[in-house]
Amino acid sequence: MARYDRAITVFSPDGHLFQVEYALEAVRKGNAAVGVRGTDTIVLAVEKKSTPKLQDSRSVRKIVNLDDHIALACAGLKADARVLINRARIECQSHKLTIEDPVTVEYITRYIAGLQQKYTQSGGVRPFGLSTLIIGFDPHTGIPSLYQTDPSGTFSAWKANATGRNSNSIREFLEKNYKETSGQETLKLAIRALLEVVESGGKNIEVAVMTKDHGLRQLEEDEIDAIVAEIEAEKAAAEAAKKSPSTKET
Amino acid sequence: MGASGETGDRAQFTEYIQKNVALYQFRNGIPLTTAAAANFTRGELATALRKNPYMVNIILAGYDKETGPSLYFIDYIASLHKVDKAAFGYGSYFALSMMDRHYRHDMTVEEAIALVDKCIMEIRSRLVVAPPNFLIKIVDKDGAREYAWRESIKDTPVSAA
Repeated sequence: MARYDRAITVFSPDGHLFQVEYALEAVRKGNAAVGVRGTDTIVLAVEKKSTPKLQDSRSVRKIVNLDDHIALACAGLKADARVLINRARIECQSHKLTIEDPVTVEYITRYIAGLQQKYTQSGGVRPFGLSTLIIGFDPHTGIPSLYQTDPSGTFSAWKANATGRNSNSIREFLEKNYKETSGQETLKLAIRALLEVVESGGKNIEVAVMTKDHGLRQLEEDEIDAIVAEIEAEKAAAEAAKKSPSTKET
Repeated sequence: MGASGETGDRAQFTEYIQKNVALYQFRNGIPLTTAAAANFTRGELATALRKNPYMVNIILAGYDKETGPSLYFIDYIASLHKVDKAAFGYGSYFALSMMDRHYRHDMTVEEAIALVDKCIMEIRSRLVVAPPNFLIKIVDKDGAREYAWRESIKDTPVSAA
């Protein structure tokens, strides 16, 4: 195995590309990111690891715009993310210039995934160490979409997904609790999912909401705190409701 | 951005500038200032000048929150001037004279529209090859918008044979 994991272009005897799998490991160590698709709203929420006191947190934006109607969040190597995001932004404008139409979410996802794949099949390069969650509204039909890409270059559409640290537990939570939501409900579902693995509080989560009419909106810390408080209150009420029937029995 | 010149170059170049200005905004989180956009435009014209020149003349208008409105004159050989009034083409001989006579730096929007109308009137009466229709746009703190058309020849429905 040691001989098959140095160069990316070499398969191992049992069909693995070890460099790609190691890239996925890097993603697993990155901060948690959640995306939830509603009927008229799509939400991205990303874990914000404790910011150093002297750092200006406004310069570390984890959820970015690719175009007026497309946004991206990622987990993994942030420097690799910068390169990918830059190329995607250029492609969004280039597409508008030549095709005279904004990109569809699927197009730009395919582009980013294609880029990630290219770097798994070249000599002397390593794969991008990040998975992305791409959200947006189709510019013609207005249908919301959520896509995920990973270092191997595969991509698929999701109703809700998570990547990065503890993504499996978040996905389990989403599988249990997902239902078609809209507006504020979608936002609450996304934050609830992220709170499964992240310390609660506005300063530990970065949340952005995309709607057809207003594009991407980053939530302020106090807005997030308010919603977190609402969620905790709902959780407490649910716990109390569960407990009270049993006390009646005694 | 108002442009005149070779038709293909006009469309290609202005759309290219538009998309690059948008790209800057996504990359950097803030819009380009008017001065920066003007200098970028001139730079692109200058780079292409000695190889494959764009035959496009441009009047660039923009509004910045800090510095207010500004107007830039950029011609096809990549000269750049920040100006209060500008015109291109054969009609410019008449329009510029009109503006020399009537322009004041403290004009209101209504007075400015009146001056534009005076220029249009001159162009219509003096130019042999005068264009029939004019479109007036305004750029201010609320962005760029169409203000009015001045049409000599309207689209008329043609009755069926």
